[in-house]
Amino acid sequence: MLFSSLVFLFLFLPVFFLSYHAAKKRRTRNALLFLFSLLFYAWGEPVYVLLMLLALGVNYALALLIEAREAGRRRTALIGACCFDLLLIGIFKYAGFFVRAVNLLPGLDLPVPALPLPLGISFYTFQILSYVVDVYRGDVKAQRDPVTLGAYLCAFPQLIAGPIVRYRDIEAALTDRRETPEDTAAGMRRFIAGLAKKVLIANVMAETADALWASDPSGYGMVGAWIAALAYAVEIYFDFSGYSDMAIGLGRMMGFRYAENFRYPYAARSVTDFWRRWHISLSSFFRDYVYIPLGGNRVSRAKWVKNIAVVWLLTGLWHGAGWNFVLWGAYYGLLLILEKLVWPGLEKIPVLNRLYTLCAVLFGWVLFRADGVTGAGAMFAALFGAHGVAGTGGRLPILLQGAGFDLVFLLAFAAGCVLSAPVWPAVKDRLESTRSGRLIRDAAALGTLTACILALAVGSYNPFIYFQF
Amino acid sequence: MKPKVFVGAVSVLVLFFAVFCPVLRLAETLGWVELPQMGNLREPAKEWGVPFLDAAERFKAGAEDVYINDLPGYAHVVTAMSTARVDFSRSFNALLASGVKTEAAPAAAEPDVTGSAETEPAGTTESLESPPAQTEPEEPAPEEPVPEEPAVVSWESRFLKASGDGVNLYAVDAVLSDGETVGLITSAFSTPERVYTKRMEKTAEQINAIAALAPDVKPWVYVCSRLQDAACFSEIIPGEPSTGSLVEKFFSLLDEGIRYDRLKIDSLDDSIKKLFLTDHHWNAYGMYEAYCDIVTMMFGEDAAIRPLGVRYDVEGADYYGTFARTSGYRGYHDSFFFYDYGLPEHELIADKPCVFAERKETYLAGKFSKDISADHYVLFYPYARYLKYPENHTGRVLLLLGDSYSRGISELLSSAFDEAYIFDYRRIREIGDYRAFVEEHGITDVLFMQYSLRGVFNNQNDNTLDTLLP
Repeated sequence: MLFSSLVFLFLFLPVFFLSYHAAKKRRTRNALLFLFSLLFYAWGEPVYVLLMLLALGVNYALALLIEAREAGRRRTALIGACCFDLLLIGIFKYAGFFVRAVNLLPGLDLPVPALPLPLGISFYTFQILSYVVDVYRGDVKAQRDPVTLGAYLCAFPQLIAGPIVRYRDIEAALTDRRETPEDTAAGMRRFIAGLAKKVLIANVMAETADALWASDPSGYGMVGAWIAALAYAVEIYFDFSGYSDMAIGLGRMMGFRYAENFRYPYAARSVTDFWRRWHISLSSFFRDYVYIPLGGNRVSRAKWVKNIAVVWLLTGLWHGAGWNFVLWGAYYGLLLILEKLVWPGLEKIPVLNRLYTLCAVLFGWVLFRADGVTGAGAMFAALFGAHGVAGTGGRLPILLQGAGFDLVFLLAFAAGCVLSAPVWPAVKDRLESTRSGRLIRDAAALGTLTACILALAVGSYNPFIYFQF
Repeated sequence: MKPKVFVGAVSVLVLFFAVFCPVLRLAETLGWVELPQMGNLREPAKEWGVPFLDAAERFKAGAEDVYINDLPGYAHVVTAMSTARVDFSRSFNALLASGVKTEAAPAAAEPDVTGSAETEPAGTTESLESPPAQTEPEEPAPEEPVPEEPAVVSWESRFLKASGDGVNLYAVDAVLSDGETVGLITSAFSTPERVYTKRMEKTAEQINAIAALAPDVKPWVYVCSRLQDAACFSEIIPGEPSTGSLVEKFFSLLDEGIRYDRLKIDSLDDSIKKLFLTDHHWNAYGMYEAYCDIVTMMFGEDAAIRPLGVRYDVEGADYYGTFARTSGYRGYHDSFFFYDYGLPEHELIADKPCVFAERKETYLAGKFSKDISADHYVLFYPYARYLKYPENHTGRVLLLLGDSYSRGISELLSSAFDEAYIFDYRRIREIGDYRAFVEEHGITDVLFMQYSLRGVFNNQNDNTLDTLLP
């Protein structure tokens, strides 16, 4: 079930919040959150919900063991938890990739497993991993109530697409939080903003990006390739940040304060700065649980380079089990190393710093979005004119029109560009400083919600063309 | 706004839809309201083979169905917004080169496309029985010269929507010689040519194989053409190729002895005259022309053809056909009309009881569905399975292997035969053993008559004709 679906908005959410607010006790509300989150997950994964419950059960037990035992046994329990969690994600996400990689060796032709990827496994395994490590480190106490732990791990706002919530950030709120009208209203506005980002901008971009990326770039040349790349860059930011906004908003409606996951990444002045602003919960996870334990930057230069390489290869792999993702991670690792060692002052050069960052990120998205390394190569070739300006065959106008490249796309793209810059905080502060401003803000939120509902209705229309054929 | 007021407002909005949709569905189930059927089907995503999980999938599909299709005003919202998006981008799309205003070339002589391996009517061992002779109605001698029909002098086309199943939809504004503008929606394959070429070759193989199964049954092929089958299509929709040469290639792959013909759609004028403006089917005039083509092909040049019937234009029957409904674009519509041929008494077994006189009366009295998704082609023409004209003694029994195009023509076409068995491709399995069927029912002629997208290019890739082959 997606947040941006009519079933979620008009069936799941009302039933959940009515039940949630009807319950008076904190434990009952946590239980309802846990139960509805399982239903939310089971809607898309009716079988693999059991896998998630298994992960919850194993980590719950091992976390208690970690807390209860002496040092040696604690370490064993931690290793056990880490092995279990990494094996889980390793089997379901990477088994096929690793076997295909091994089969590249001469004489080997092992059967490639084709396991379906359970929804959200990358998020919930990292989340539960952070919990057991934090218990081991003594940063948090192990949660004795499995329902409360379940409410943390499986909470539907952040279950499928993050942010990766640290247990320590919401430990207190799990047992002691208040759902105030102010938080509920703020949460609703945040949810609506996220929904608008997803439905009114990201989905419009996706229509064009998906169509162009699915076609042979030689057909649309440089013009089409740049449109495809730019559309995807806007799509992925508004899709992901919109989803995070919805998650943060829903959490707020329940009294949780999740950390921000995006901070205007396209306004970054360097790739280093970009990764301090993009998917903050993931980069901070790798920083706290991989980079710093490896020594961080408090090591020799050679070791530091190795640490960066490890973190970024893992980051690439986390995003997808494919060589283009490995390449994508390596690409950013290399840029981070170069920024630190070769051009440290670049961040301070105005205009050039932003231009460089935007180009670097855009090319990174080409690697990320492409269908494998060959697909990335084909797109790069088109971007730099290998098939001419308009491609071969004279079909550029048809392909662009068929990809939904129209005035609505251009408007959504323009809105995306404007909203990618940190203009909204200043506007928000201004609006919230006066009564009439707050009224305008709330009226705009209601109007935006209505617009989103209309857009979702139109987006859901997909008739079989010849149903009477 | 106070936080509680804002929370209340959002909650009321969400709860309104939360409650209204299932209530509307209940009202529809109880027959209290009738909602436009937009064809927006929601099927279970997966079959598990486990009762509990399958029930869950059905619940999910049902919930989506209710909270999408039963949104208040869903049909109107979808069509209004889809139309608005198209119209809003109209000038931009024109700028994008597909809106090139094109002047029509001077009209050329219509090519003769009826063909077979032989130049004479087929069959030397059996003389062709003419269809029953009809008394020609008396036509008053014209006192004035018949005015020339206005012709297309220029047009503009623009992209509407990619349907998602390999077809692009385009809007065309055609300017006629009398200054009027006609808007229509047409379709073009977006599937790669090598894919549908292979399918076309396979279809020809299947027809040849079926024809060979029963050598005593005369095989015929009639292709219900699309505008994309016209040689000039890429002038109408720049960048989209014509499929006309592939239809010709299809004909060349048919075995000797299989006669063929097609509905002549060789220009925008033909399309406007013979096809619905917003639907993929032929209109009543196109059906008549097809009837003339088929009867001439099957009975010879001297065959007695019924004259064009009396035309009835149904006031208020604004028809938004398949293309309009799929694209959501409501800028154009058809005005539904039909012909009364005064057909003799006949037996008709169809999907629902329907006598032409009753249908005619219903429509002319305005007692038809007025909702924006009403498919008048389907509502007016019956899904015929069997027809018998007791007064005919042609000795010819027709087996028609068709599709939804059969709806419109079955009664008229069958009037040239003693009996007709009609199978839509969706029911073709009911024939069972083809040889046994044709023998049991005394079939003398088998006509393969389908829309070119299906009948030549097998766009669904479901190879239904294979079910007739051993």
